Amino acid sequence: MTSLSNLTVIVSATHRRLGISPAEVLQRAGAETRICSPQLDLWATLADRTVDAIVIAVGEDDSVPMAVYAPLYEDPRSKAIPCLLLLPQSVSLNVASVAGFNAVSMLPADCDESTLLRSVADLTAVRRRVTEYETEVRELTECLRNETLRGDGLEKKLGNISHDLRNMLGVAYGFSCNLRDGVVEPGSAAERTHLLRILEAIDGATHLLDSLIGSPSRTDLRAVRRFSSMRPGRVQRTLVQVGRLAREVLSLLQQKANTRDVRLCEDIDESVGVWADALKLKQVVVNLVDNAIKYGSRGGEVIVRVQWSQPTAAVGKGSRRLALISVCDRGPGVPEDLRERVFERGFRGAQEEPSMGQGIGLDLVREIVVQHGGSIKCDAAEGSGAAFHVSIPPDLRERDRQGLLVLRDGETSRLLVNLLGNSDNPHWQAAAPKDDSELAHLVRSCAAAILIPANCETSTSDLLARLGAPETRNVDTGDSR
Amino acid sequence: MKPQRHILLVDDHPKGLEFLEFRLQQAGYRTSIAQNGELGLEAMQRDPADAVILDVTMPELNGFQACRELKKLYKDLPVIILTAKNEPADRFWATQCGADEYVTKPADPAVILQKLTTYLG
Repeated sequence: MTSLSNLTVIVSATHRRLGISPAEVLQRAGAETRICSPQLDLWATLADRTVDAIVIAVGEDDSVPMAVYAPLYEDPRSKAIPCLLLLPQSVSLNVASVAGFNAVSMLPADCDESTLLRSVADLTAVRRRVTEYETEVRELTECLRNETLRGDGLEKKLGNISHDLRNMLGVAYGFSCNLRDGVVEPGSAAERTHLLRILEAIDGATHLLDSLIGSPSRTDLRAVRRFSSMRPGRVQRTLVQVGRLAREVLSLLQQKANTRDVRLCEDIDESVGVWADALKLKQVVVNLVDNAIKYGSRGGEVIVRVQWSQPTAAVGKGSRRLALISVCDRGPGVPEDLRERVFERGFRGAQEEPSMGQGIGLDLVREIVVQHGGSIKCDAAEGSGAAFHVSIPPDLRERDRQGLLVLRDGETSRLLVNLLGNSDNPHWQAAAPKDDSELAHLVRSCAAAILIPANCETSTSDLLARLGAPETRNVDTGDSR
Repeated sequence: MKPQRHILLVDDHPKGLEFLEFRLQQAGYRTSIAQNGELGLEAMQRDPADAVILDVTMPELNGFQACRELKKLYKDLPVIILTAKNEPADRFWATQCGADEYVTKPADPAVILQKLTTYLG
């Protein structure tokens, strides 16, 4: 039997005792019962507490017309409250007048106790089910609403992606149309800008697509979240055959070389392959070869070499072979004091004509190379001319953090640990070994190590700048102040 | 000598219009760039253009709003909407705000040139 212990039953006080007293019966059964008169403010009672059922015992003399209860059942709040009417035989009730009540049940006023209790219990059971359904419907509605919102969010996100893609394709398409229509002078700076913009746009569009397609599930909303946090220009690695890539670049720039009577030569080891971002690496080679054509001597040659480096040590970082890409020209070369500065953003040679470029190429090249854990340097080519050497570790997949920063106690060290811990630096990790044997173990397990003593006074930014170049090793902190 | 026609390009990412700027200049037009609708209106007052090419998605005043304002001030000014938005609703809004042409990206600069020629001769 349904428990009545949590019931609140309102029993009309106008009920003249007709066999049983509903209030007493319900109280005995454990229901919390409140007796109220229709003349009193019934709403105060209803608003005051949760009412599970209303029992209205109608008076024998019909002294309380049903109209008194009208406000009760006209109010939407009370419609959810089941109502039991106890009616004396003498009262004929128009069923329509109580149609507004929810789960109305009627009993003769002189019914026995068990019938009354069962009816109230049935009513409250109905009430509970109704409440449960209401909750379910509410939850379901909420859930659907959230799903719809999330769906809208996804749709909006995909709309944004589509918009961005169209913009990028628009750039590539627009520049391509200009080249197609022959409005760009072959070999001009404008042509180079056109080619670079097309490559950049394709690069951007590829990353955008990769960010979605490369996710575990295309329908997974997490993929979209990942997309939204995607950083522009992130390296997307695939296995790249460097020789093939270099040949593609040479063929791309052949026409330009012809305009300056420059002979493009290659010396390629076909076995050189790196785990790298093909488009970015292509940008590197395009920039270097293009510069060599532009700044090398007219009628000279540009040599592109792709080979493996010779290991310089039996163990440690020196034992790893690196992919080397060298681009040499036969021009005037880069003066020794400018060989570092050529990689600075906005740097332009003194003799450079304004039309020759914006001074952004080599800066970008270095950024890409560093992103790949590699390095770039400029020196003199054999004979004369400039030589740019790019070295890239073939594979960073297995051990993304190649370098080890070994720290001793000290303020700078702690700062660096925090910075490296939060910076997601791909090349270096920090460690603070407890003793010398742990230090020895750590150093043996990594490709390169930087030892920083506790009293290191090198500025944090200097150290971090050095960490950006992974070939840096054994920083003598005493000299680097 | 035929006076040099002036085309105002309005886009919050002007880099995306470099190819068009180049093409228009090659074709003998003078170009200028504004980075949103509001700046476009200012630019028109300062240096009136013979035609305007408007992106839609821009901060401050978007392309549709800018187009409406431009048409209020310069009734006969040819306005070409050049956008990555290609929903029918967008085309509808473009007509509502008085745009003369609606071109979606990726766009062929030759097509835009052709459209400009029909308006500017």
